[in-house]
Amino acid sequence: MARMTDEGLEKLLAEYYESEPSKSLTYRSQRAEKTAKPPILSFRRAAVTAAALTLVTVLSVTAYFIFGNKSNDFISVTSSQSSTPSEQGRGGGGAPYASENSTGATERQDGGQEPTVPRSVTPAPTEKGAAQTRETTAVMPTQKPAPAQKPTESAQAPPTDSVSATEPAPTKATEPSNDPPPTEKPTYVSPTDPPWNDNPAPWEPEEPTDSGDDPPEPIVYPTQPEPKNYCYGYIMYDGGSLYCYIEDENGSMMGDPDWCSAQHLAEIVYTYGNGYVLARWSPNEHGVRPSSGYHKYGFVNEYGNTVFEDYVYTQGVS
Amino acid sequence: MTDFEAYVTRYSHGLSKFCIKLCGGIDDADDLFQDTWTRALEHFDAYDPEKSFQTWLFTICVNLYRNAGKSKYNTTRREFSSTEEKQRFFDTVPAEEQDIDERLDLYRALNSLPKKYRVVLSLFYLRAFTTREIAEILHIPEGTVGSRLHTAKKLLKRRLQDGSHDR
Repeated sequence: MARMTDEGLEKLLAEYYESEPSKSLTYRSQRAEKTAKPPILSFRRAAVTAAALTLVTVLSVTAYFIFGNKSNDFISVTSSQSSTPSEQGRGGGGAPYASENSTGATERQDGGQEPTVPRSVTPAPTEKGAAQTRETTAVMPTQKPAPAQKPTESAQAPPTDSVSATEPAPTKATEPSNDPPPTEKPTYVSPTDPPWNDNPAPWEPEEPTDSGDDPPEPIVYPTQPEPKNYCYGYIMYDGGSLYCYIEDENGSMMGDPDWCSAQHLAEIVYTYGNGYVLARWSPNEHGVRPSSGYHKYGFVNEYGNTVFEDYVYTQGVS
Repeated sequence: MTDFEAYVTRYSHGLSKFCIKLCGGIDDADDLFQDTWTRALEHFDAYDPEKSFQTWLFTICVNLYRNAGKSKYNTTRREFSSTEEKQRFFDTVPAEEQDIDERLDLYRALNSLPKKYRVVLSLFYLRAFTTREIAEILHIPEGTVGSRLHTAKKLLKRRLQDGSHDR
């Protein structure tokens, strides 16, 4: 490009910056809200879930000892009430985790009502599968439910001996020690991994993303060196002299070396134990000085204002 | 409408323009724009209504831009790697008036400047802030703003003349 005058550059810059972009950006609040969701929500949700599980466990154990000895009646009621998806999660005493895990929803739908009888946590499969499930599954209310995908497998499996439909199995953890044990020992089949452990809600951040920085972020001088990756120019100290370099973004030398030469450096004010020095110098006749470090005092501008001194806090070299 | 929504409505246009000019590309600008509003929303409780919201908002934006790594918000570099990338750039400026080569040279020269010079040029020529407000945003003395502007224009002029931004 031909030689450009100051006026020409000024006009070019003004036109560039004042021109309106043909496209304008729009704030997408949904993204912000998703990112900004405070982590406390996940804790709250976990606490509510834990409390609900405790309540359900207590109620289930109570129900078991009320109806437990009438094992046939118990299973009969259990099977008949866990038939269709539409019934689950509608309230009426279904186990909260059954609703939550069978639908994948993040909110509980049981309404907190107390179940009158324990229900199977097995999510309802298809009609055909449901019929088989009635005969084959008798997962105890206090057991952790299988994942939502499991009912199909359960429904397709032939009736097995692994769980007896006539033998409700209380969990060891919830069984009161001072009550008489059931007359028959049930065969306990360990449920699969509880889905609530491995299936967090999609909006839950896995770890806090907020760095906690509050704008504005004042620079602390001079105890905090500027990060190297933000330095485009820096002073090097070899123990006796100071040298100045200005680098471009690729790390190569740029600009006129005269802009920033050691002759403009006045003195080292203080040498830190960590190899850093605090240097003071005067800018050169162009008003240019190293661009890194922390400029505490003094400056030169195009209007010829008086320049006193400048400081830089910079890393030395051994 | 909440206070925050009102601020979004009022200042989105200016912030959008600033981000586009600063980053030199729509994609990078959009990232910076969204990140700025997100950070503002997160820290909205810390905003002092006695002070200028615009200054506070642009301080967040500049801090995000400066504190990011070298490449973040500046993935668009001196050369266009594809026709699409070139078209994206020209989407950010009106097609009329300026000579296309001149604009391209200016764009390349601006993008070759260190971040701090691009920031001060963008803030100054956006005509939205006084020099004092720019100094407040950048946490530097007011005179240093003038000094950086002077240096930025000097660098820019040199690069436009000798094409050093192409090297």
